[in-house]
Amino acid sequence: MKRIRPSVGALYFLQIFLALLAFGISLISVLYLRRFRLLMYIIVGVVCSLAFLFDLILLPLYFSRTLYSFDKNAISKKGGLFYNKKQLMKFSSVQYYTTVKTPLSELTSLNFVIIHALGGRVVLNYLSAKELSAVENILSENLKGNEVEQ
Amino acid sequence: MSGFFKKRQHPIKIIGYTTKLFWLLLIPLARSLIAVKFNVATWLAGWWLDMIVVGIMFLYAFFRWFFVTFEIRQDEIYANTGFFGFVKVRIPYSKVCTVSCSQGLIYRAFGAYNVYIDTNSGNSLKSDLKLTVNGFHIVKLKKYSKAETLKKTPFSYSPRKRNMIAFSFLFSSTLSGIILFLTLIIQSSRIVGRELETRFFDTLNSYAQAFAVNLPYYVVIFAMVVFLGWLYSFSINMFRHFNFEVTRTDRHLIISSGAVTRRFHILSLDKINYIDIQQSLLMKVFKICSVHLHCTGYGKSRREIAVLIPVTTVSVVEKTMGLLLPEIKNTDVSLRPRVRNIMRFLWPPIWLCLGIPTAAIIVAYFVTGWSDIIRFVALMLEIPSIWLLIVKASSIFTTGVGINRDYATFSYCRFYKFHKVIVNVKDVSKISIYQTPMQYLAKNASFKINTHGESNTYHTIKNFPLIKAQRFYHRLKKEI
Repeated sequence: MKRIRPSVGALYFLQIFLALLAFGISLISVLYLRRFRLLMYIIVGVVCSLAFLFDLILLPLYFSRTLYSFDKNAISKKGGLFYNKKQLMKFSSVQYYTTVKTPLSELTSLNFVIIHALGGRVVLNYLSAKELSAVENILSENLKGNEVEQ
Repeated sequence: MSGFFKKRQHPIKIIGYTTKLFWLLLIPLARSLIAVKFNVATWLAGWWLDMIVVGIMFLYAFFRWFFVTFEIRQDEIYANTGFFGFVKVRIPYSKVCTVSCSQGLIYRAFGAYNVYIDTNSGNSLKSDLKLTVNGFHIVKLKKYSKAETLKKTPFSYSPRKRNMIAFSFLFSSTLSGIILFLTLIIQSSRIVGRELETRFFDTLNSYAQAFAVNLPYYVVIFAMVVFLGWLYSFSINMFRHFNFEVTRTDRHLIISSGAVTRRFHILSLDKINYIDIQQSLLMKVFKICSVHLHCTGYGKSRREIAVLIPVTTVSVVEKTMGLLLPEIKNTDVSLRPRVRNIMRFLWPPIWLCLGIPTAAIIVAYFVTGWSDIIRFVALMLEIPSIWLLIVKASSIFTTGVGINRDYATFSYCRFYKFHKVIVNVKDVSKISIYQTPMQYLAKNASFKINTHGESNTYHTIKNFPLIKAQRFYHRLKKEI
């Protein structure tokens, strides 16, 4: 059985990106909303709180709880923030898959695989480039295996 | 053809990637050039910003086209799609349900085709993959998806022209025709100006006034709108299904049609979910029917009807189905509702027939001065309600279910149409048996059968004796 977790590189990238975004919005608010102090304070407060919440609590929790497993017959995805969620998809149900590889994904690990099956889909988020190739190989082999059986 | 173009879509797609705004800017630009009598210097001085915007839009469309690439491999279709090709899609041929190709007049002049590929997954409103390719790619796609006959001589069926006219006549929808026609007028007026819209409505108004000699004006307008809507829908259906032909090869059905825009669909036989033989009440009386099939991707376009055999006689359908799809066995209906339960079928249309005049009386009492219009609207609604009552009364004699090893048949009536669905039991995904409170008292039950497909497709067959329904349920469950 192969087990893959979302890449830590993606976590660091998202944390830095959210912090910079919060800083940018706060700076713009301070520069342009000085005359409306109350509104400025509200925007800065909300943005910084959300950034704090996502950066230090939600994102690390998501990344630590998410796990993708591949065995002989099925793919399973475990995760969930406030309650446990488990999805299982048989390889025999898989119709095709889509990979999304963003620019600079070697650094950011923002790679995604969307597996389309009868009646639903499973999305594997934040894979590193190496893990993305491994997942693509597993899916290709299993799709070919299904073809032979048919 | 160089490698550069071989793995990219047809260059005409660049125009497809430009948005509506591009044309809304380009046409005024062209008009302004004519207005300054082709004095380019003056034109540039006055319109340089618009030209920059048009240039950026064109560049964006070009880069989108440049980064989208694809490859038709021996065992799969591989494509880099999405914005700037970030999204990679790999679809094996074994999972493809339908490959659809269309070619309009302009595309024909440039040798381009739109190709739509669908599997049993993805979005039920859009195809899984859409590309614009040239003829070379179509030949390769047909070869690798094994759509060509290997051994036997293919069988082809092509209906007569008068059957196609009858098909378009029976399956045209006034409502969709009205919506499409109004959309055409409004979109055209956005491009060429409001003159077209104004002229159309003025012409309609003048004809209505000319005809409104002995009839109220609103009645004439209503009749004209209904007639024009139906006529537009009829014309579209006629053009779309002109030269209709279906060919059976070893593992596929190839369906081609179209007068102006030519279309063909390659359907995988093992991915056909079910066959649906449809009739209206009048079609039943004259012993004619239409055969539709459910295969993901075929009939996905809003204006497309997923037809296998357009209107013809029942005897011709039986012979043709035996040649096109001999694997599909027509099973006799073994379980029917009891005739004494006829009121279960009639109560909904009876309530409708009584409710409409009652509502009209109440509305006329409170809204004074509109009694003529209210009476007219109530009459227009009452006529189809009475027809529905007649249809539902006859449906008790046609409703039923049957099963015979591999295939099951479900006959039912939904609104004005009679359906006879023949499905392989392995394509039944869910069976439900249920009772409403009234059915509980009368010891009746209904079935809801879900069949495979991209969307949630189900068939409801009502009002069977409870014990026999439970026996059928267990038998179907065992076969699944």
